[in-house]
Amino acid sequence: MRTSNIAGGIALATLLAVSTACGSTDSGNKADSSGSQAKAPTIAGGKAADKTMDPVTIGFHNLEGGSISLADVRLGFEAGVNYINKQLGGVNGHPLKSINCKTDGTPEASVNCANQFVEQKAVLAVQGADFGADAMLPVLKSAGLAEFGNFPLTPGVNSAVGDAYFMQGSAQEGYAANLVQLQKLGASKAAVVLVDNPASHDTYKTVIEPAAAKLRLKAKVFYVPAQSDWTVQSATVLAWGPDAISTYVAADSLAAVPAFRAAGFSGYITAGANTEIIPQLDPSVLQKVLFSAPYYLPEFANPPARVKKDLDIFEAYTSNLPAKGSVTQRQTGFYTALMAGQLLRDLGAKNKSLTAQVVHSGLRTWKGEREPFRLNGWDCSTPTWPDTTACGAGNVYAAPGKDRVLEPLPDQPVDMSAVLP
Amino acid sequence: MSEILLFLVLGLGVGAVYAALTLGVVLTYQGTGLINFAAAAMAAVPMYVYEELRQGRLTLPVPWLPSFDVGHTPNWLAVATAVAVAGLLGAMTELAVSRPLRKAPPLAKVVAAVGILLTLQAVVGLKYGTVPLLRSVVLPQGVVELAGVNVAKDRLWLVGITVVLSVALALWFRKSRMGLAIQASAENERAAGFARLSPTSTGLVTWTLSSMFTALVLVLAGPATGTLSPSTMPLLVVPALAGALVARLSSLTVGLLGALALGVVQSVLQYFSQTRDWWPEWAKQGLTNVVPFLVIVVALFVLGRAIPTRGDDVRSSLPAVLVPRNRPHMVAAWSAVGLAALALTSGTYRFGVITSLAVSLIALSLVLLTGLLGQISLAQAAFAGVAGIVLSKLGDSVPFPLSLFIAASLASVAGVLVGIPALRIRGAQLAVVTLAAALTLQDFVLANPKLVSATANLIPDPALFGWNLSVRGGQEIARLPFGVMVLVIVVVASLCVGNLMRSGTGRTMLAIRSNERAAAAIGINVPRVKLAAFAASSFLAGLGGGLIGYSRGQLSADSFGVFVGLSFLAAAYLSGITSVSGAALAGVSASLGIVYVFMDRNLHLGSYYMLITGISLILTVLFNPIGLAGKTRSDYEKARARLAPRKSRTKPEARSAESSSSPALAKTPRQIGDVSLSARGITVRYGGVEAVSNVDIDVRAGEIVGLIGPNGAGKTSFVDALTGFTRSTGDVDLAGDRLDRRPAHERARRGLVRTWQAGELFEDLTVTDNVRVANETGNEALGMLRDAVRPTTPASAPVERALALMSLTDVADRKPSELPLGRQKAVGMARALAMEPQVLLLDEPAAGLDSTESLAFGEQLRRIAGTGVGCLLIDHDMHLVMSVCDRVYVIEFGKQIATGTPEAVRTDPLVLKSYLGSQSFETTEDADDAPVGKEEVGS
Repeated sequence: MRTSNIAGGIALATLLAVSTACGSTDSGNKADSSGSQAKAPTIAGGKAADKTMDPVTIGFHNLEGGSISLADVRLGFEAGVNYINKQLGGVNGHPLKSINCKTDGTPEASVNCANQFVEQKAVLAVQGADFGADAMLPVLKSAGLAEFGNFPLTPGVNSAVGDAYFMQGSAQEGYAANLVQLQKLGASKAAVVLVDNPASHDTYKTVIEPAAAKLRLKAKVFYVPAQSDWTVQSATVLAWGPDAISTYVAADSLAAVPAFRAAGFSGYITAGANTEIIPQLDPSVLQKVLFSAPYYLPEFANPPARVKKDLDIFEAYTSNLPAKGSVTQRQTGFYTALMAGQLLRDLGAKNKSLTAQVVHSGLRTWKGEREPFRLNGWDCSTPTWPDTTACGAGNVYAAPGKDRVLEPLPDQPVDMSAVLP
Repeated sequence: MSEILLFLVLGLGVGAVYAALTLGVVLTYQGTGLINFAAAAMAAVPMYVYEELRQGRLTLPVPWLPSFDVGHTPNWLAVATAVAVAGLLGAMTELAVSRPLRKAPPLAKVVAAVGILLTLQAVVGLKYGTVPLLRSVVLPQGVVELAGVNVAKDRLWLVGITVVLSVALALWFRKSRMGLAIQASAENERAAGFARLSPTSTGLVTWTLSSMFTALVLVLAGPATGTLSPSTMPLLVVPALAGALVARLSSLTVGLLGALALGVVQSVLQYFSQTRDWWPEWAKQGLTNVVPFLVIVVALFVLGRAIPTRGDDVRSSLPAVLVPRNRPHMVAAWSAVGLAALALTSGTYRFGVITSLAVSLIALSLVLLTGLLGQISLAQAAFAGVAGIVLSKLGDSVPFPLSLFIAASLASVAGVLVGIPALRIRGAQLAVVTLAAALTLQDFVLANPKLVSATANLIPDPALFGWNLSVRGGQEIARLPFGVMVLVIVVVASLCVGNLMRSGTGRTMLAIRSNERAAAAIGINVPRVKLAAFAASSFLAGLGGGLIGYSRGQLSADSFGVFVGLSFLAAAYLSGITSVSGAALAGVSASLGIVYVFMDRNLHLGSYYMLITGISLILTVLFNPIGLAGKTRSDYEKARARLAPRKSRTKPEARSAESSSSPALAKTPRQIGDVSLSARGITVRYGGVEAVSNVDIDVRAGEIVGLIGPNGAGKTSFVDALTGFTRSTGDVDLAGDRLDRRPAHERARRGLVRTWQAGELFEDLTVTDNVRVANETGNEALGMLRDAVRPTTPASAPVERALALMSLTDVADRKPSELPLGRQKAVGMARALAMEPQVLLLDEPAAGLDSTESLAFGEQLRRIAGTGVGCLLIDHDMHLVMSVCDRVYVIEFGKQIATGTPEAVRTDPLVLKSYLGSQSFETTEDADDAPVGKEEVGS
């Protein structure tokens, strides 16, 4: 039971990073300029959904309007639904319709969304990014509605095996892959810096510590509170004398990375998916700072051709969005919509009608060859990390190169078979 | 060792940030009496303005105002602009919120500060975004070597600048004309007003200056504040409040030192907790928030009573309590309304009704603790969360409803633990303690991995005798049986609270809310009542938390966080914190409550919801302080009064006609008995001054003894010493019962009762209730349980006698403030008599009375003594003293200089020289009730 309680301080931290990173910056995507609309590739062909057919309804919940607001995830999701209805034929001809429910990170708002999804007979609950999502689970479970998404942001949905399914690698994989990557780069004494919350404590004990032991890597955890002075925190960490540092501190990476460098640390630092800090930091600070992502981001150098095509579609369908916004968030939303559409098309093809129960049971065996924006496939029949809701796997590590463009490291995605429980 | 030195220095940097906020809080409190819980949220605004200017944009904190591209801005200009914005914000806050609330009670100020916090948090989120922002480095960068340790230069600069600015501010505060005016206002605002020191000027200066000072230091602090985020930045106020309490909310220098020390302690503890293997794992969670709480608790225990209450000119008290009548037909009608709301709704709407009902219990806990007793608590949500944890831990091992009872009981224990430090303080300071407690419970308990699972804290569905009471089943979101179960619990709890409000317990609590000192003087055990109220209130909150847990199916710790606690207080205040109906309304407006669901489904306020909440809160405090329920009730009463036939309600006269005809006042011969009160060697010292020096006194049963002396002779201090209201040495014996080691309330209960020079009546109670409450003391905790079930008992015989004796029956239903001074004094006497005292100590009862009233009072005093009560009369009305007293003591400079019959004292050369001069007075020999008995007067 204890192992099933593997949590995601990392989930929180990493996704916070992804999400918050993208909150208001351009994320370095120069295509999002005023001229981008003219340059955006035109995507032709495909088949539109039949508007005369009954729509297939899904519920979409996302942080918007509270103290953390990730509106661009929704915008990307809506763009994805638009693409599905315009060019992918909807859900086997039926238009795909989403109930957009805004949450503010509180359990109350998320429960409210779950209630609405059940009441309005949604067939699937789809998460953009929602810190209150754990509170939805009893409502969804009672109604037989599955939770679906890109990444399990909170520990509850990360471990709700059989009730929730997420297309990317688990939080656990992220932590373990980090250690593997650092060891590959020569690290032997890694400091792991986590946000001070119950999930982080649990994660260190159940994932990071065992993985470090398997790798024979010396590791020590440091918990940091919110609103920290990073000069104090970095001095605390460096007092232990690490040769590499893994940070899972969400948007605080922006303060953490320069603080470690200012305190004289010159080894590798992993900063999770916080690529938004790249344009804000001096290149000298960014040396030996590693970033990871589940799929190719627009700022990655030289993506594979098939991925490039996905990125072009994404760009075409989001080019009408305001220039100021987070491309990474939009990509998250777009990806999630495409995967939800794919799921419903696959299950719709096998079943007469799509109900919550059909989708819920169909998810248990759902698998596929290639996800958007990357070359990996997915398989929901077996969690990629035990006792998690992860259907996918694989993290690509990259470091900022010339002009701060992210250059993937060799041998990606990271092979973490050695640390699997 | 060098590492510890490093953390000491780095901790000073953190301490400098705390100091900036601490000094701002102290200065604002001194100038306006408002503890600025929004200090950190306010400081965030200029920090954002500065960071925007560094990006070449001028972005002011007005949601609909666009940003202006201003290009490169020199650093000094950006800092100056940010500080100017802070000053403007401070001035606007003073003019729009603080000034109108200058004479408001502490609760209104606390709620207003919460409103400012929520509003600014929303404005910042809307205007600058919610993404955490990296702070720019303003001060010189690089490292400097100190004793072999590399220390960041900017932190040293920051500490230096903060110390210099703080010392300058402290000097200004102590030496400048305005600084002295602020201190004078803080000491006694009304007196300062007489000295032509305008509180409006001092308010404006302190808000503006404190905002600018805090902003300047925090802008310069750069990364030392951590990242800039609307969600976490406001919480920086907690350590600042700890520093402010250490500074006794008055000393800027101590505030500076306290805040710096707090930063150092936190930094060093952080170092040890993270790097030392011997540090226990359970004690790592939430450490930085626990430290300020511990500092606050320790500071309160050490400084508790020394923390001064600002000399506010508070003229408007808390909203009047609306006592429910609990009439069966009304209870049935409201229950039917609740049932109909459940039965006629379904899905999300019914879930909203259920949530409203559950949250109304938490609001009800605030009605009891804050509305009725006047104790401000920001920790009610945390208590509810404790119950949630317990329910999830109990799981299926304990059946419902025992599990709910146990959970609420443990929440009650948490409430008592938080209430203990609260015994030494009141008002806004209590809000500080409970805020820190809430933060500690949130981080150290609700988020502690040793107590709470990271993934699931499931709460099993309730079932009773095989009856399924679960909230949901399949596609049904909210089942009716669950809703009915919640309704039943809420109705029963509301009835109990309503019973308490109209019972002796309610009167006792209202007496404490009105005047703690006077409450203790009539024998109320104030600490015990407070603790009992904390226990009962957190039990109610625990019930609410448990029901919320059942409705969700699991514990969500985030549902019980600090900001949720603030929103509960806000909702309760908006709806009416002094009435049961207000609690119900608060539930209706709660998050996920019925109004929330309706608005979510029909209106799309989106990002503006939080801003609207904050502004509504401020507007309610300013324009409708009695809340929605109170306003509705008040309007209803007015309409009813207009429609009802006019009843004459004449102004109470100085003395009713009844006074001369009442059989209770039939003249009785007075008999003097044995010594009732014997005090020996009473000495009172205030610092180096000996106010009372070795004074002895005897008062016999039925005897009227005078205590006279010039102003400042120590008469009131002597009475304070006898009754336990000031520290003293010497023996106090009441009919063989040693009292000198007993607290004030016990002395009163044993028969040594006093009245007050200033009346000290309970303004929230009617005349009858002022008298009744004095006769209902003792067994507070058990009494509370009894009153919750069976509240109404008729007034006792001593109460009726006291009202009749003091001729108050014609004004029994009036509030004391509606009576002329003479009759207010009579209420004070009646209240004392209702306790059936052995000895009555009367502190200047004739002050302010005209000669007719004074004569009448003398007559009443003789009759009181005629019932066998020994009386010690302190007064400057020598005609009264010399005419009614059997013996007189004279003190000067705290020392007894004469004693004897009024005649003997009147002719004593020393007394004539020091006090009486050549006045002539009527003596007891001339009085018509000269005592008879076994002892001669003055023997």
